[in-house]
Amino acid sequence: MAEVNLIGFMCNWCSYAGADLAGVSRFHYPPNIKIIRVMCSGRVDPELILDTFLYGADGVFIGGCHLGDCHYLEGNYYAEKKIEMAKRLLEAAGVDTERLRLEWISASEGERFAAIITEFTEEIKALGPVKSEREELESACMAAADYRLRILATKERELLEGGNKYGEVFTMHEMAKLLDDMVQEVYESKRILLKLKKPMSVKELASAMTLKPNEVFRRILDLKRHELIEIHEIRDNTPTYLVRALNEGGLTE
Amino acid sequence: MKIGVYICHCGTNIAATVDVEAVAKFAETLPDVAVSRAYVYMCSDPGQELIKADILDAKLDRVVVASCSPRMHEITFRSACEEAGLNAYCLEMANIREQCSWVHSDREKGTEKAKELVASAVAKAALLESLEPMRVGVTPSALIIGGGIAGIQCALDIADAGFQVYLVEKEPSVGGHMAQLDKTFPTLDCSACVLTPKMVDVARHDKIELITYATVDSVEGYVGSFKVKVKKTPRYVDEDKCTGCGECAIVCPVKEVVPNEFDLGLSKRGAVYIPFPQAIPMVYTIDKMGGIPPCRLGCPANVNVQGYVALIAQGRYREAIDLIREVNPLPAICGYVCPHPCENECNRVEIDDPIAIGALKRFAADNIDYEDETDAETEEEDNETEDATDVERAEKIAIIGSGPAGLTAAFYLAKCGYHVRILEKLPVPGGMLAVGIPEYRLPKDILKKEVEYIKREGGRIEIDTGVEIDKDGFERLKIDYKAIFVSIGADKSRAFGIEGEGLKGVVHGVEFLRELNLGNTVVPGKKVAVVGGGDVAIDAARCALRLGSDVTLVYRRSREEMPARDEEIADAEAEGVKITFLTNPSRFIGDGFVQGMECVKMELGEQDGSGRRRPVPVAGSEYIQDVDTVILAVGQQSALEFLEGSGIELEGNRIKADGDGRTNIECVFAAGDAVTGPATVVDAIAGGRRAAEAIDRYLRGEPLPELEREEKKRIVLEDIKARLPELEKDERREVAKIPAERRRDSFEVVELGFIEADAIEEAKRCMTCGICADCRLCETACEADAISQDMEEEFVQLEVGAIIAATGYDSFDPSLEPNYGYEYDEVITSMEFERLCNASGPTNGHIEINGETPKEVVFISCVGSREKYKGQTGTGEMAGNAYCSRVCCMYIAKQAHLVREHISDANATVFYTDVRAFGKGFEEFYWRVKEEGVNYIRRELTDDLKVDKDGDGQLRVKTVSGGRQVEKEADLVVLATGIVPKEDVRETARKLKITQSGDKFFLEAHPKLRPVDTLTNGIFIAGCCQSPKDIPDTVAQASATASRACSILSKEYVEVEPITAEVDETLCCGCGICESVCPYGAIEVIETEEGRRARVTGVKCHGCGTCGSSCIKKAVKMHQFTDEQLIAQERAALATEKVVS
Repeated sequence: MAEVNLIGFMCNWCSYAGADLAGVSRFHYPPNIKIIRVMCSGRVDPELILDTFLYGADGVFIGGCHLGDCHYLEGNYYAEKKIEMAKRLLEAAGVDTERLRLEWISASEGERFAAIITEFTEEIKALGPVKSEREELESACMAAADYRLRILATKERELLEGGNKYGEVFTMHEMAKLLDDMVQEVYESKRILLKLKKPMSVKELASAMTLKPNEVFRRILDLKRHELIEIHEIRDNTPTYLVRALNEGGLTE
Repeated sequence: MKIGVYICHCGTNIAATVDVEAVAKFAETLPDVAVSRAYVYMCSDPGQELIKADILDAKLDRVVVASCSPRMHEITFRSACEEAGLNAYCLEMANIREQCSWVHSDREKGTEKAKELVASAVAKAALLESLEPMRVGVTPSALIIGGGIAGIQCALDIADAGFQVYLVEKEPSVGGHMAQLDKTFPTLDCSACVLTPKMVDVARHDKIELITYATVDSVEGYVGSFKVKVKKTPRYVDEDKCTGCGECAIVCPVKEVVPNEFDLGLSKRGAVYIPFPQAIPMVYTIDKMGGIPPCRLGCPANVNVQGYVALIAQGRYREAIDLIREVNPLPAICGYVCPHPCENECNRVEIDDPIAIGALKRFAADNIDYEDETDAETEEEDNETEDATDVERAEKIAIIGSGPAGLTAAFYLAKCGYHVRILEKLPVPGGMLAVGIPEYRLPKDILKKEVEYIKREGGRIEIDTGVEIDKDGFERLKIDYKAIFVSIGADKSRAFGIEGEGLKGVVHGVEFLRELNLGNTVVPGKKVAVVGGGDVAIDAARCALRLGSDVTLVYRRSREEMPARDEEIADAEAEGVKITFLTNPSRFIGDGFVQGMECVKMELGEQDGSGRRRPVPVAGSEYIQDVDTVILAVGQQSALEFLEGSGIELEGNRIKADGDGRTNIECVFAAGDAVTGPATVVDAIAGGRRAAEAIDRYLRGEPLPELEREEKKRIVLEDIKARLPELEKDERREVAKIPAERRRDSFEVVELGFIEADAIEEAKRCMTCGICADCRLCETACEADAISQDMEEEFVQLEVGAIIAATGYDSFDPSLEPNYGYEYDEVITSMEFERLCNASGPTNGHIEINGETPKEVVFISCVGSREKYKGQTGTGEMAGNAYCSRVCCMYIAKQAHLVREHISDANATVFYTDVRAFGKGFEEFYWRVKEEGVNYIRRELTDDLKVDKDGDGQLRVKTVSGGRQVEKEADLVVLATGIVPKEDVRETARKLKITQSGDKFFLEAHPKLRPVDTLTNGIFIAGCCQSPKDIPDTVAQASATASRACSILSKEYVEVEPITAEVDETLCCGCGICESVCPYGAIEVIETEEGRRARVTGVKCHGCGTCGSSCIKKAVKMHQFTDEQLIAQERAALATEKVVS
């Protein structure tokens, strides 16, 4: 089996302490995982997760306190939603979502910590290294930084429980649909931006991204409206486009 | 940038699995690394000196130490940096011990991983910033949660050190489990004797504020400055005023009904109680269920049923009647005739039968002397505030009609000081009570004595009989009186409206009963037909029967729809009244006198407005019944002619009035049947009393309070089961009746009423749903004026610098493991045994079960403890815990000794597995007990053990010892139940934000070095909430905890890590998403010159970083865990070349 690279982000109060306890109690697990300490699982940003995959991780593990036990009251509830968002982006980028795992492990669960890490390592080993292209991961990473997805990832709890500004409460199903559409849209836009580092026509983009030309065109219009791309030249009545800025500066809420 | 990297061998702890030299060499190649060394013990002084020297000599900007977990030595190395002049936060640690060398065995892979962890740490270190810790002022006071011996010891130590202490205890008294113990091992000291002086000290100490019967609701803040909200359960007794005299408990009618928690349910206590004689604070507590008993809710007049039933159970009949009279001045009459809707609601219905409330009320009223009210009067004179009759009021009130509504209103109005004149058209007072209800149901002397009582006790009441009010009379009343109360009832018969109704011999039921009751000669014929199905029809039929007639009752619907009470119908039939259902008269036949009644058969059609099925005549089914008298009882209405032109609004044949008796004319009030239509006596009483209140308020010009329409919480059986899990069936005592034959020619009262013994037994069946009956006798009895029945839950805000959890433990519940036979009376827990031994316990210190003194006592060790092996329970399930509870071996030895001390000829046998006698004097004590003749039988925990009764009823303990089957007969089996975490341990852990270990006890910060600290700064633990321990260990630990707490309290300020968020206002767009996710309210969006911007209040921020991961503009900088730092860390950990296996 292939050797794999795993990164774990563990909260200081529960999972990191659980990892320490596994050590003190000498519960062994494979050495593939490298643990990075954060104060709370809620600190873990989807962009950080995607960046970790972009820079070569084959699996990312997030460890938090059990629900209701969060040292910071409800950080782990936010973590749950952020990791769901990261999973949607991984899926868009063609990465198996099993590669991202969130677990609640308490400070007293050393043995369980070792067991879960062993299991996770074995699973990732079975999957082997990530096969997605760098550009796909980079697009997902940029999408994770996009304000629209950041708002949705954070506000999902609120929208499900309390509704939006107009008092409309979203059902789980509606919310899932909304997230799917939004993730797809943002992810594709980012990919187009990356591709347009060199001039391309709609047709060329469509074939490179295996999308329908009208879908690409919709994104192109959108990006142009936000002045992120410009028409490079028009050849044989077909315009080609070029990126102006990779980031959406001056966005308005 | 110059980074120094230090790799620790940790002896062989790291070096055995990680090639530390190779790692150090690798580190040299990392960017910005100026120095890289490996050393055997970095945490040692020379190790630290190494770092310090390099900082000074090599001018290091950042330090990376790769060693153990930062949770272990981060502080050590931060100090080292600081001592050399480098900011403490310029240190980063790589955890290559707990998370590398200790969990991996492959040295090559371990070394590679260590390199990656070091590279990761170096990458982060390069981006670290200097930070200054925040200083937080310390509130020099401590909160201690739990008033057991641990909490008490902590409180005394901290208070003696000069700091303010708040000791919060959930129970009404401090003392905890230690107060329940009889003797303590191994010295056999009396537990209470050594504990109570400390309890008293706690109460007396001027630096300790005792907050008992209270729980911690929420905790906010941080070390040095916690804000705590404490919820005080209402004890309905003012702690500052109560002197503990116990007068309240003497007068309280609710005695010995609630399982006494302190005696583990082996004894019972009353509604007002102290948990045990040495309780601190020595104040009483009233136990209320927080709701209204269903019987009281079911009574239209809101009579305190539970209260008077409890008083009857105590034989206190006069007090019972006085309690009823607070809202109902006609207790005796109601005892005889009330259809007792309360009984329908009684919670006992779900177990067997409702309490015979009506019969009990009659019994109490029958058994007091109405003439002799001296007792009650003396009491009232003693209590000056109670005596409202002293207030004389000038206003005069007229009441039309002296039925129950009129009498009730008159009584309460007179009590308020008004002059009341009742105008009654009949020659006798009482309305329907006098002329509507037959003598055999309500004897005339009962009515007479109640009317006399009302006149006498009310005073200022004048009853003018034989006065009929007409239109003019009514107008005159309006001039002469300030208020008029119309309670004329509904005594006018409704006409039937068929041919022949005018014939002689056709009479109306109400009039028939009235004539009879007034003593006029009434001679019905031989063949009487009564038409109707209500109470009046039944009363008329039974009266006619008693006058010698042959009586047939004709009712147009079936028995189910009959409005009369089932009991009455059954009695009528038993006496010989014939009932023809589904039949209606169609005309009366006769020549001057009625001779026949043509009837038609009916069948039930569709439902009508009343929800009953409408009777429809069956065509051609007519027949003629031979009769000489017909009594029509088909409905009544009020005679309202005198109100014509008065302007009073009517509703059909009724007066329109609201729930408080107010009509559309200000000074005219009305209630009773005239408003409701024909209803029960108790409905009329309820209406009369409410109207009296409304009249009083009207005359005093006070607004009427909003009618209490809020839904009162009804106490249901489930609530009672929570405190009385075993509710046994107990059949209702029925009242005897005179034989049916004797009733035919006599107007004697049919029901004979209870004899005293039955009444008391019956009253004791009451489950006292509300616990406290709300009779308020305690209020009168309390000379200190300490009772406050309306007390409500109260919240206290405390500010403290440190918190100590000393919340104690629960005992293992042996019913979870059925093999121990805990369902038998003769099988008890060790704590129950303590109470049995104790002189103030349920048996006054005699070890006895159901009055029998046991001769063979068997102890079983490790119940609920050391359940590593599933065989122990015999069920294959493990309900208990893996750990040893540490105290059981020794208390078994103590209890076995006590058995022989209390019962000299008893044998004590112990089934044990190992005897753990590890403490000072323990082993010696164990040998002493053995030498006293206690029989120790060893068994393996893997072997099944069973306690049960065989066919002969003999209790036996069966197990295996030394490879052989062992069977031991026992009279008493004591289960050495282990110590388990408190039921609410998780809730407490969450409130305090502290962690629990796998066994669910609170987790200490370090098992060896920080045994009383938690991972949350400023919160400490003491006693059995941390792990099972005996009293000496608990006290020692409590003192240690106190000392740790004092180390914070004695400082002016504490330093808080500057791991907080900060907003870069040049990036912030003011969207407020960070504000919405912050659980501490540390972020606020404010208006600045540049627009809306988020701003963090440093001290409020706890450093979770959720705001950082949520910010849409990435404007939040989470110090020490910045985006850049985390990304650098992750990328560096992935950058190293892999060893591919």
